[in-house]
Parts: sequence; C-alpha cells; structure tokens
Amino acid sequence: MYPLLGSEQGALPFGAGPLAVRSRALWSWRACDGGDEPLTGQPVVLRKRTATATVLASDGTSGSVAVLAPAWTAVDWDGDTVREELHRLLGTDEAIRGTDVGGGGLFWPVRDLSGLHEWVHSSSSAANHTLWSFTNDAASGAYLALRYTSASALAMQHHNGTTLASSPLTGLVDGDRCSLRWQFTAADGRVRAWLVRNAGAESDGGLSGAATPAASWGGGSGVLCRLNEFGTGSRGIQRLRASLVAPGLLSRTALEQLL
Amino acid sequence: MSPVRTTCWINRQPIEALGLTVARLDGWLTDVAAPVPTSERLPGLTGGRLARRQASAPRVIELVGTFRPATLAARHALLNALSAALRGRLEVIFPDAPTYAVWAVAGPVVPESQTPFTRSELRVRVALHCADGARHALWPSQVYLSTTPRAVPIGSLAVGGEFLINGPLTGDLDIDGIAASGVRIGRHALRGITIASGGHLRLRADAPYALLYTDAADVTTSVFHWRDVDASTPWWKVSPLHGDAEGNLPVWLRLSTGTGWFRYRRMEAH
Repeated sequence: MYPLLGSEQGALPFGAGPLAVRSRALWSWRACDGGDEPLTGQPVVLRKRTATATVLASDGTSGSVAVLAPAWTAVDWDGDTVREELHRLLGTDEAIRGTDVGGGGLFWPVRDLSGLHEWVHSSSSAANHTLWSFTNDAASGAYLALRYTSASALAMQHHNGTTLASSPLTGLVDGDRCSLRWQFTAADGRVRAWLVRNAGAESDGGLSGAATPAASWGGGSGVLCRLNEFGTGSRGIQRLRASLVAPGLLSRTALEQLL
Repeated sequence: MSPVRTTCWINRQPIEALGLTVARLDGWLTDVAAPVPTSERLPGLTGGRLARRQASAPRVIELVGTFRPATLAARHALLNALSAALRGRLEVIFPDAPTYAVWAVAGPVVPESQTPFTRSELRVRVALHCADGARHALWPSQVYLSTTPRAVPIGSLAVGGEFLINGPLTGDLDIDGIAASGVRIGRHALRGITIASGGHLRLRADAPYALLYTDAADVTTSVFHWRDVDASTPWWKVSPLHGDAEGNLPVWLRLSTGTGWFRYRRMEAH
C-alpha cells in the first residue's frame, strides 16, 4: 500500500465540539464579555471567596452574592451613566490561576511580551496588592507582576531573580476606570507601562532600568498566569474587566484588537 | 471598540486591517426570528399551554472583498493572512451595532476567476456560517432577584442565562417569570431544597438544563430532583413574546423567598 501524497486538508472534518481557543494571545481573560474561562483555552484553578460580596445589578440595585459563587458587578465603563458591562469582583481571598493542560506551570519562553489589564481601582488597595502576575507558587526566580505600591500607585515589575526593574504609575483615585498596557523587552529586561484613567490621556510610567532576563521564568519551575495574586499571596481588590498577554511589543491599538 | 471606519470586526480586528476592501455583504441583517412551531395546543380543548421552540435560525453572511496588493508576490501573503484570521470560531461585529456580535465559522476563501498574472488586484468571496444567527450582546447583564418582582430588559429574542440563588435556604422556592400583564408565564418550582449557609444553587436556563448545588465545602452536585415537574411549567426562557402587545413592557422575575441573581445575555434577531 502506498501512502497518500499531497494535502489532506480536505479530509479533515471540522469537529462539532466547542473550540477551546478563541484568542491569538498567550493569555486572555475577558470578564466584561461574561467570560468564566480564558479565551486562550488554559484550564484555571479558582481560589474562591470565603465571605459574601456586595455587588450591583445592571439597574444599579445592590445585593449580596453567596460565598464561593463568582461575584459579578455592573459597571459603567464608558462613563455615560449606563452600567453596560459586568466585571468580576475579586477580593483579597480570591485568585484565578491559569495553568497548563496538566494543571502544572506554563513554560513560556523569555521573549518580548505586551499586556493589557483593565479594571476599576479601589482605594482599599494597599502596597503589594497584586492585579496580575506571572509567578511560581513561591514567587521565586524571574517573574513579571503588576502590583500596587500604595493605595494610589502601582508599578509594572520585572524581576530577574536578582534585580527588580519597575515602571511606576501614580495618581489613582477610588473608582478610576483603568486601562494599563505594558511591554517587556527580552533583550535587556526593561519594562514600561502606560495608564489610561477614565478614558483620558495616556500617562507613561517611563522605561525601567535594565535587568538582564533570566534564561527561564520562575527559575525553570512552572509558572502560572495569576489574576489578583502574587505567588500564593498578596491578593488585591479589583473589579476586573480584562487581562491579556501577547507576544511581541504591541501598540495599544494592536492589543485592543486582540480577543 | 476602537473608533475606526470598518465594515466589520472579526475577533475585534477591523477586516480592512487584513488588506481587504469589502465590496459586498449579504445576509448580515437577515431576520432570524424563531421558527413556527410544528404543533400548537388550543386553550379550552385540551387545557394545555402553547409550547415554543426558541432556537433561532442559522445565518449565512456572504462577504465579497478586494485585495489591492502592490505586487503579485504580496498577493499570496494577503490571502494567507486572511485565511489565518478566519480560522476557528469567529466573533463578527458590525458598526451599526458595535455592542452585539454574531458567532460564525468561515468557509473557504474563494478568489474570483480572472487572468491571474496580468494584474495583482483580486476579488475574493468567503461565506461566514452562523449555526445560531442571533446577535448576542457582547456584555451580559444581571438582575437582582428577591420577593419583589424585577424587570428584565431583553431584546427581540428570548434569552437563557443562569439563575443563582443565595444560601442559606430550605423548604420550597418558586422562581417565577411574570408577563407585563401580571400573568405568570413560567415557574421553576423547587421543593424540599436545602441550601446550607455558605452554599448556593445555580439553575441554567440554557440547554443543557441543569440544577447544581454547591455547598460550603465547594462540592458541586446535581440536584435536578429538587425541581417538581408537576408544579413547574416546562423549562422556560425570558422571552419578548411575553411582554405587552407592542413589545414595550418587559418580563419580570420574582422569587417566592430568598435572594439571588439572574445573569443573561441580550439577543437580537437583526
């Protein structure tokens, strides 16, 4: 018997099952689109709330959500007084961890990365509260993180295991609708972040100092993409709209055009 | 959505970013109203209720566009980029309704016949197949539920969604859908329920229908048996058919006891 030669594309049936990957990014979580799972297809482990939460319905009615249930709260994202979106309320006892298919760490290579994180800021945030991080459980070795440095300031951070490179942003006020994009340059380990508050002008955190990247993230151990957590602690408070990480050094327009 | 001139966004990217100038678009506004039911019960003869199937019709969007690459060599790159962008499940948004999307799968990109090597401009045709042709709101909504009836703003199509009932709650619970006229149109009658403190109950109004209880230890079990089939109406959805005659007044939801949430996504026929 001779093997068939040529393209077999026509013989591949298009499966009827759901398509797990809907995004071209490395990591994409769109709470505003009602997402309960990453659009990039990774399995997630949830650290759930241990207390009730108070959230808003789309008409502004306030109510409580039971313990362990995901808390969605209606938000007026575009400032037109209509609460058109639902954001995921994450408290200090909650986290969302993106893992690999076996539940272990993600072994992303060290390369140029861009990210977009959108949320509503709470003045209950404090130093070390974390919005997003790419860390192992111990937060050891090389990592990336978006962390508060005070109740009104935060920084995009790259740590290569020895040196911390940081791009800081300040001036956050309670209720600010924040859209932060960041870049990590693999050549020299510099990071840079830009922040748009309430659809205003973009402020620039400035290019950080250099921190020669390590050969791998997390000292070679598996690293998880974490929302609201740094390692297994330092959880923050946020009304999460969207979180995205993509390869390359992308503009804001390119990031916003990724699902 | 970024404020750019575009014919449509595919997975949030304007299609013109792929180098395609859209010349024709068919099927994107076709009505996908619910199909006529195959049978109907007349009130007074059998005492039955009208039961409707709420699935919306499929839609095929035919997109014809033109590439104008600078060179013949660039033409393949543009075609490959378009094919790559059209893989998988697509979210298609049109500028007349930027907060709604249809979900589609693309057929093959078919270049129209021409003399291939005299000019680089190329017309292509691609069909976007929507198994469910309804437009879905990009952003879901949620309504707080209690013993006070609460209006549910919806579009021109019925919505499914998910009910979440807060614990603790024991005994009987009715989840009622009420028409604008005050008539009850649907009821999920839950009997003998036990939602302990720290637990919650979820009822899926979309297929596959499910009734799930999560306890304080975060263990989730199916409690379909809590739903009294005799006391409940057939599994129902919040539908514009139950509003007033002109579709202006919404449907209301009410719990017989306790509190909870109804999270859903508005859907439109056009």
